[in-house]
Amino acid sequence: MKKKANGFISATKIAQRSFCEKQLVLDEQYGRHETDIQRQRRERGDEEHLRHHLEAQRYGSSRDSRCFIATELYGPVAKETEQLRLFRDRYLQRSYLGRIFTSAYYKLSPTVVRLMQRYPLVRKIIKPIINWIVKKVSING
Amino acid sequence: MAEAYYLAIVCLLILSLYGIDARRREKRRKFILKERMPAELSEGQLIRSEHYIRTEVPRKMHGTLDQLYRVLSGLHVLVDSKTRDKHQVFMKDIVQVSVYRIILIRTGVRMADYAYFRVVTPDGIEYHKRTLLDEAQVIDEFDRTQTLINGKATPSNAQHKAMCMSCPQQINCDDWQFSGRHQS
Repeated sequence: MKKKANGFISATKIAQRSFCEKQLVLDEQYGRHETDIQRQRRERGDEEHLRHHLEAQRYGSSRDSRCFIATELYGPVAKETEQLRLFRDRYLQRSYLGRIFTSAYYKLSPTVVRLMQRYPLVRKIIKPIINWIVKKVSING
Repeated sequence: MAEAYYLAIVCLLILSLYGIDARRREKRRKFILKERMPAELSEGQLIRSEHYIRTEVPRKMHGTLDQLYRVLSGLHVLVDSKTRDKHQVFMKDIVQVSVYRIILIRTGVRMADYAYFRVVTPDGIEYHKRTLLDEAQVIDEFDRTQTLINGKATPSNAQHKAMCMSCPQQINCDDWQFSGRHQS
């Protein structure tokens, strides 16, 4: 995770100064040392970081309804995405069933997007379906 | 014919997604219960996790943030994990996260002036909310660190004797009044 950055000072180093300036300078002169206990603690901390990083990515967020399948497939400003947006605003939002469909779509689309990002096969299955929907919507629109 | 085929696939897909979604919601509920996460964060959106950031202005600083959330107010809040024996947040933790905050502000992110420290102890997990340093204070911290690294200032001793007891640099340290060797 650490990257080389010439002339840059890391946040950890700046923070270490407020703990002990002497140790900061000695680390620079002799290299960073750690006792066995400190090494064990660091390893425990690294494991905990990795575990939480994976869990937070999976379950740490409430749903973001701004994630659209079309945006993932075509991009946020693509013609296809724009056509689907128009269809939503002109037709779906004007009827009760349409609004139910839209809210269900908002609810489910982040899961679909995540699956598409993780498994290319899902993307391959979904793309022709969305292409077909875009085609139908364009004819109707 | 093709239309019926696609409609059938769409229906199947929706049904299976409802199943996946219900399973995920249950797992997320368990995760929040275990984490005892503040409502502000659990209702927010995770934007970045274990993400490397850097800036050249106001100073050349870099680091890897643990988590960045966007809360309902639209502001961004940092979360930093610490594995400790006790539920404690030290000044060095606040300085570290303040540096991340300034880097993010400089890259155009709307940041809150506080952060959460997720302290993991054998007793469990607790989130501690702390106000962070402002930009001027972070610049002062940076300048002092740079001066010390360049050897242009004399470093001060640790504030407490206890801090020296576990210091791995004892062998190189000339502050005998603090070192464990002096006592023995």
